[in-house]
Amino acid sequence: MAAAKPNKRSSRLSADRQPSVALLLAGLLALVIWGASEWSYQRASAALDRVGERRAATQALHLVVRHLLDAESAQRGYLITARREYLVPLDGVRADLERALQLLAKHYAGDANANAVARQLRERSADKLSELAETLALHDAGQHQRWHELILTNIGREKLSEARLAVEQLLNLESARLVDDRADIYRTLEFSRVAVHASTLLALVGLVFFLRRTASMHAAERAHAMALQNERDNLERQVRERTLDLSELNRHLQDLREAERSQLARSLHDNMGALLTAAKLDLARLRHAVGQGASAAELDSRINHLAEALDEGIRFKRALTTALSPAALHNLGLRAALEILVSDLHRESGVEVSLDVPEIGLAQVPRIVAFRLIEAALANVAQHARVKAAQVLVREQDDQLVVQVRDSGVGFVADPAPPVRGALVNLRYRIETTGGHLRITSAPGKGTEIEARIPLQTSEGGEGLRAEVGAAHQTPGPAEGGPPRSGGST
Amino acid sequence: MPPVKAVIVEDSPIILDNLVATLEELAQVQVVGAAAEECEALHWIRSPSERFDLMIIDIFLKTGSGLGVLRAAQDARLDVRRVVLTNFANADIRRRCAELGADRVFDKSSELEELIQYCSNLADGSTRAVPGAVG
Repeated sequence: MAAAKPNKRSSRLSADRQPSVALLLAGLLALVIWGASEWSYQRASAALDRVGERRAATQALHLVVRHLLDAESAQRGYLITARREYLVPLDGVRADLERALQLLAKHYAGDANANAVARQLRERSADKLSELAETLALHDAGQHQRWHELILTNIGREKLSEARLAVEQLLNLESARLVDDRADIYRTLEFSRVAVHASTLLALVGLVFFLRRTASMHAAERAHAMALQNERDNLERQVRERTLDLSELNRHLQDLREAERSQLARSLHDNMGALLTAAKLDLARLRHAVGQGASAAELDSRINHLAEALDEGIRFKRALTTALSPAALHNLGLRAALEILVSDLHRESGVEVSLDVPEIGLAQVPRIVAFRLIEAALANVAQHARVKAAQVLVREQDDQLVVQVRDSGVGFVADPAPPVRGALVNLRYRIETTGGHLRITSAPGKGTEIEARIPLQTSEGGEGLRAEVGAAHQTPGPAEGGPPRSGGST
Repeated sequence: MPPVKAVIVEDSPIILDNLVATLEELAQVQVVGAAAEECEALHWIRSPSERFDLMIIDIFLKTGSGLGVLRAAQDARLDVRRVVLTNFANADIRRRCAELGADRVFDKSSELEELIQYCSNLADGSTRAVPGAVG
């Protein structure tokens, strides 16, 4: 009847069923306590009732004897003194005796043996009374000899004796029965006591299990809260890391930009500045020559010199603008721009690049991202791969532009040095913010393959970042550049 | 009149070549030495291989700065005219050059004629009486 014993058992019971089981058990306990106390009460009451009856019976038995003695006494007194007042008690005796005997008859109705003895008592009492009546009648009739003889027969005394014996038997019976009844009451009380103790114990056990359950619930709640806290701390840490990454990337990009700008400024200053100053000096000499009346040939040569300086300036400007933003890319498309890039690269570094690029129209973002990727990849090949050949492949596939740059050069290790690293990291972020994906496969001595997938429909920067978050759990391959740790510059 | 012997401190070879040609042609200057870096210029100040009258100094050099050259010349109490020829001739630069003992400051883009004139005047002795005037 106990509630679920070890915690294991209670945990097996589902959380839903536990309250109804508990209720059932509590109901059972209540029922048992109620039943036990009710039963004890009934039994004790019955026993006490019986005790009362026994007392009444005992009293009746004593009364019977007393009445008989009273009667005898009255008779004796009258017989001795012949005074009527001695007979007064006799009047009520019959009636009282009858009442007592009837009570006894009722009392022993269920008990065959006792009933027999009670009947005997009744008969003996009746006999005694009739003997008394007889003697009185004889006395009143004046037959003194006859009543005297009657008395001397001892019938009266015998009958009284037998009656007293019967009474004694019954009194003993009552005594014994009383002992039984008392024992019964004690047993009942004992049972009741045990029942109450047991119930108390069970209630305590139930309470203990209830408290344990509550405690384990609280523990579970605390564990849950802590798990949530851990989860939150974890997330916060990841957010912090990601923010740091992004800040670093931002700083890196700013540094890159500043470096580019200062390089540009320097380049303009050194080249264009010098050329223009040279042109001005030429003009000064030209003016002087004109003033001095120089010959046409001399003037001509000075003018040519000036023209060359200006031509040089124009060439420089062209190279610079192409480096900054290839006009061909915007006006003629990706393939044309790549052809120019490849031919310039071949001229400068001797690297031969095979192009497998279809004539396709592209939106601005994928076009320029693809171009920069190929430009950066080929620059790496020219500077680090130590081979003279590379392959470029561009394809449309589903909704993506697939760009591959392959070489069979020296490759690089998983964590390349800053110059290569910086360029790769920059490209990675640039591609991923368009919603694309960059994969770099390289190993020392095994060449390098750079593959990018760029969505043809440009997406918002946020989607790209969301894809990045989703891909955050993918571990990098053998040589993929991971998130930047130190800002490397190209 | 003897030509003005000059040392030019300038890191751009294009400008240097053109400047040499122009000054020698138009201003009676004989360029006896050139330096592209501050340390080379200091060598000319401290242990020149020959005597010279004029130093034309650019501020932005390959290494070091024309201001350092000016300072060194000032500290050495060099008895040589020092002029600055630079692309960035704002008021601040001019002031600093003057403080460091420059005789004149010429803007490379707009005061080339003035430089030529100055060198010319030096050559025929008419600027000897005008020390430290900064344009």
